[in-house]
Amino acid sequence: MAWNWINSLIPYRVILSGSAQDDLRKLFNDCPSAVPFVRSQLNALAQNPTSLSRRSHFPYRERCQLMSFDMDLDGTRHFFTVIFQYGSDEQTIEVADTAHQSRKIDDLWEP
Amino acid sequence: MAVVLSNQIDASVKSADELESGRTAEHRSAMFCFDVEDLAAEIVRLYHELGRQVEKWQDHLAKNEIPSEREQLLRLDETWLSLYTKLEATATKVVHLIKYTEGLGYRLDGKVAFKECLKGLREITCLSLDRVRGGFASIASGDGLELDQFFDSL
Repeated sequence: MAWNWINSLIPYRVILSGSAQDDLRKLFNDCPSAVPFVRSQLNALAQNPTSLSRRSHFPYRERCQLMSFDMDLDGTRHFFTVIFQYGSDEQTIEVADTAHQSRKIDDLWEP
Repeated sequence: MAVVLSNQIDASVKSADELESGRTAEHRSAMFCFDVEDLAAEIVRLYHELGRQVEKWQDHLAKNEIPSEREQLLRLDETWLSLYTKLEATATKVVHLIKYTEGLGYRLDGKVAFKECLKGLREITCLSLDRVRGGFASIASGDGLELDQFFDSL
């Protein structure tokens, strides 16, 4: 998608698919304190999808974008991957899935 | 090409298993560290090769307008995903081997590239093809919910 200066002024409307909603509901039931952080990340995506995402390499290279973020909570690091595409109206972001993985920080492999 | 890559990935799985089972006996040997380093480098190479093959496949798919051929080509997505999944599992096994060798005081070359590769593999394998397809289909059929509406409904 070509850069549009309006991007920086008018946020995109973010539409969550049924499975993305299910994923997030399940996560928030297990971990309610994640709600504000995840919401702020998705709002940031709505404001600036071009710089916060990259083209998805597989399996939907042509149409999809990926955004990744993580947060630390109670000794666990939560990793999120959001896969979306731009709507045909160029004003919406359609989120197909929000994958979530978590690992104990002590088990993480750091440089 | 998927067959060649599949065999190469199987070979890396076998190497990881053999190194894992042999680490106690050989843990003092510098050769063990070099073998782990070689295996990590091979996984990075396979990851990039897999990416190139997938891009070729996607290019073929984009150009092909014959429905029956497109159907056949489309079905390869499960093959690619299974190769990525196998490679991710092997890479995770290699992480343990690297940690072990580092515990012995060795420093491995190519660690940054390996970590990038592992991150890429996990981003691919955490997504399910069916769920992504289903997600877009549900939005197209009007089942999507706007972000604020969703958070207000919690």
